[in-house]
Amino acid sequence: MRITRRDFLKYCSITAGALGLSSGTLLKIDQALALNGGTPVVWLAGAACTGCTMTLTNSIYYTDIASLLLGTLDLKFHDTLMAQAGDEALSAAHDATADGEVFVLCVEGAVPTAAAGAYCTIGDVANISNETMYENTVALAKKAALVLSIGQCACFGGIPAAKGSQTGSMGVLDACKLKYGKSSADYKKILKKTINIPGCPPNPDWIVGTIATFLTSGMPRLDSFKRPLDYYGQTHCFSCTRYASQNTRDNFASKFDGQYATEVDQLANKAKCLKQLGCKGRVTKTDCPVRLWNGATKGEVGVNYCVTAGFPCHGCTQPGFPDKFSPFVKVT
Amino acid sequence: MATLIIDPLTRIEGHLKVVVMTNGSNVVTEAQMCGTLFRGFENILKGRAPRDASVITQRICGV
Repeated sequence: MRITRRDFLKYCSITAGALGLSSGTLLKIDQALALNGGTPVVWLAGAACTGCTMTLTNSIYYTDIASLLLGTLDLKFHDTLMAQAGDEALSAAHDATADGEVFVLCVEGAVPTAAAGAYCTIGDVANISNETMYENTVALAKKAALVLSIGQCACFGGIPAAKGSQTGSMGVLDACKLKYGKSSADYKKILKKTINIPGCPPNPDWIVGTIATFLTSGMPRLDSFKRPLDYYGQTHCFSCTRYASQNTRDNFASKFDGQYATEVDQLANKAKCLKQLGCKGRVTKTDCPVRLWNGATKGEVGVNYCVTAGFPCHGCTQPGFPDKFSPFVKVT
Repeated sequence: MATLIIDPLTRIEGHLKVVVMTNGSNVVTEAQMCGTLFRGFENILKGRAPRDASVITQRICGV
């Protein structure tokens, strides 16, 4: 059973009060649906915490999430944001990904491959069989026009793939490699159309900026880990304020900002490099220090991030996170 | 007696399957829920530096 446009608008007007939508917003939904445009997007969530969805909905610098979803993208399946549930949700995904349909596959979360993928299922088809994240990801990656791996888990496995995990979790490309084989034509094709946007979570600008770049000028320039060079081109230290303020080579903080009693001492400590406390900024490729996080106004950068808040960078945009960068905090 | 299965249950964080059993007059008699994702954070935390736990456990749920 499909939800028609009329059903959806009825649903919107019923829930408008609860969601705080104005009549203007409803009009926009109507217009966007009438346009029937936008790039169809299927968003799969695997072994994820939904933090990547949250970061996307916090988008503000380029555009807000409402404009993005109403004007630019046509979100066909996203189990946290979609109106339908159960069979209707699954049939929306099946319709959007049928043979011959053009769509973008976004994946959030790692792909558990152990036990034939049974550690993560994304739906129950007609109450008969469970669809696993593993089989859906590899099948849709083959069909999609573009594969966006969003977040550390979808790119490189992240925390679900860390040492001690029994679920065989891995990133999207690794799961496709496991399924199709390293030298198969299918895997090589998937490799060509994949963009990795790592981070735990990624900055909303990295996601929206990459989508906008792809829609306007095609595939962005990527590094060897398939990350867009626009956002992952330099190491963290390259633009870190704590590093830039170093006057001498031994200007390292020996204690965290919060361990100083007075505000003056805390401020003085904020000019010191966190390397000896476990900062992994020297090997982490990111533009966090200039872009910052938690922005409030369109076109302006954010207000804060891990290192300015006094916590060492723990390398969440790098392959190998978290095991390679553990322990995150060094205390002498 | 009818059984209704809703999977995926949407507009929530994570993966949830709901099984609802109703009697002849459409009254729910039994409801069961099942989380359909297992990551095993307990296993991942074993053998790590204690302070790493603050970074790792905050990734259980990002909402």
